[in-house]
Amino acid sequence: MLTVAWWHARPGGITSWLLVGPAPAPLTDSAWLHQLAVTTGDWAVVSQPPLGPLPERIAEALEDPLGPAGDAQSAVLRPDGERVPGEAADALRAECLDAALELVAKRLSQRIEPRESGVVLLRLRSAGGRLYLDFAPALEEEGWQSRSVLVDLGGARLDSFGPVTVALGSTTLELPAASLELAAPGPGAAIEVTLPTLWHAEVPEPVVRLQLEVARGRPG
Amino acid sequence: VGDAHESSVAETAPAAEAAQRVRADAGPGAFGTSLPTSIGPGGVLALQRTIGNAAVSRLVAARTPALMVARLVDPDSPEYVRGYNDGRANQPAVPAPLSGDALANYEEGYRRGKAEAEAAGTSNAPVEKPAPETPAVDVVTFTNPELQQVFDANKPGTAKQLAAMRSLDRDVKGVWSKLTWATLAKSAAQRIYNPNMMAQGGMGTCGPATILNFLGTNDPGAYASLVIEVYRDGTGGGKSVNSKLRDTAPLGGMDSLDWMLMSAVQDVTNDWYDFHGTAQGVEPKHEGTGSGDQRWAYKHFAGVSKAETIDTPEYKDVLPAARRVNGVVSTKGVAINMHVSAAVLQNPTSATNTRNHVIRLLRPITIVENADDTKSLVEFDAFTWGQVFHWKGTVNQFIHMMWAFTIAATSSDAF
Repeated sequence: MLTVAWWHARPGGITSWLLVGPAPAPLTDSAWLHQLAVTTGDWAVVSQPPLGPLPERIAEALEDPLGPAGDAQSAVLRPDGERVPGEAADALRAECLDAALELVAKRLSQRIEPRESGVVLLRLRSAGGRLYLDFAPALEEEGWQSRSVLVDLGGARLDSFGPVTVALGSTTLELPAASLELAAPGPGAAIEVTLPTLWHAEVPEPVVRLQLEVARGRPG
Repeated sequence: VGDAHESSVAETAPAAEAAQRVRADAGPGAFGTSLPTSIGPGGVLALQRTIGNAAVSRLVAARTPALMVARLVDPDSPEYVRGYNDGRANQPAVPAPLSGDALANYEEGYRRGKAEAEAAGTSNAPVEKPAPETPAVDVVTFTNPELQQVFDANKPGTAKQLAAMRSLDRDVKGVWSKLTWATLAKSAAQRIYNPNMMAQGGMGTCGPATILNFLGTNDPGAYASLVIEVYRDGTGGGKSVNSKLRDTAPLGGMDSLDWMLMSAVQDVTNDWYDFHGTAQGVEPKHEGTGSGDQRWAYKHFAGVSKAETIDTPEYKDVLPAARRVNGVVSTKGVAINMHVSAAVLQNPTSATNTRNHVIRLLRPITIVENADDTKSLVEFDAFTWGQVFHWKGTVNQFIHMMWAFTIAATSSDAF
């Protein structure tokens, strides 16, 4: 089974990241999500831990993932990390992304401490003429950002905590969240997240600038 | 010698702060604001002087666990004063034979004394008692900007974590031709705060992963020292790592540091065969650890003095063993390995239950028995595959998955 990385490149970096491939040893035959950082719907979703399994049809497709590419760039990688010539099919990316969101939702529905989840959800929210960055799951605690995904907030501390409702794939979740008021209300913002670097040839570092947009008219 | 993983051959509130407003833009470093303040070690030290140790202990006990950090460092302790005076005199640090909180006291005293001597540009005479330290929050600095980034995202952390971070903040020349210290130091820093992100990827090194996870959790300073020793000297606990491995590139899909350390631990633990950092199944006789190997590796690498394996070959053996490990899993310095079937771990309904994996239990196992197994419940959190893995199933599924437990402890009277 091959590993596939997809990313969207923009000047100065990448704005999305999806990495899927074989399950960790000693599991065999199944495919897992390895890393994810995308903006989809209201929330940007970032996930570090290997999660699985992905559906069987994806495991089968990863035996030969080459096909017509879309707007995302891709790299198909052998088990030793070397790159296979050609691009991975965009249709497979769409299928992997849908399945990945379901796995992340399943992860968040489990009884796991927020900082141990390896998952970060981010969104921009407008309320009362003000703009907020929401961050989930998050509890009020020392070193609240202590997690395997680094989120660059320029040193700011989240100081308002409460529950949020999140729709992720086909799952609706109630999660603990934190909010940070932004000083310059605008239609969007970019947040940089850093995932652990895994050894692969000719793929970018998973440092992703997630573009967040405020949905107009959304209630706070 | 074993199969892919587990051998089946030998045995089957922060302080309240004013709301901060930050600016949003589309450029690099999209958010900027002033640095926050919080009750860090310096702040608690000041409180100790104002309201006394007993009062601070009560306060700490009632607050978040992170404040425990400050309680670890006692500026009135003889170890702190000795370290402080060694640092003030510009002498090399001589913490031996200290360990635990005493070592943390010495190291923090030494750090402060050394900083004062360097600021003064001269060595200073010893004192009976250091002057009260001005609370200094958010002024911890590292020369390596990537270590600074990791610290800033995880502060305040514990005194032991900070000491481990400082030990990484230097240039190290290594004997691994395909690896760089810059990459390894950053990964090590992340694991000092998040040991559960250690991931074996495609390698059959679940046993080494559990030992390193325990080491990083229980003694981050020793973990950092092992990182340096393996990279700089090509040895692990004084035993050589084979040269072919040291000239090999990391396995695809793995973090470079996890690959180096897990490979080194596997290689040093092997009796006969060298391990070359290859994927599961490439050199099947060279990978995998049985429970005996794991007990040895816990002692060699992780400061364990006593280790015991409880085999659970029969149905009736599993729950009593699970209840026994529940009694010690939360004890400091104790590690519990669970020898399991990876297939049932991934899917509790799996019929296949080959013993081929080992994971590290992190908290007591929830067990709810019921005559109707479908109404029974077992839940636990364990370290494996670069995460806290949450498993939930029935009692029968749990028993189907389990093969043995290993208890390892740094103190011989822990169990």
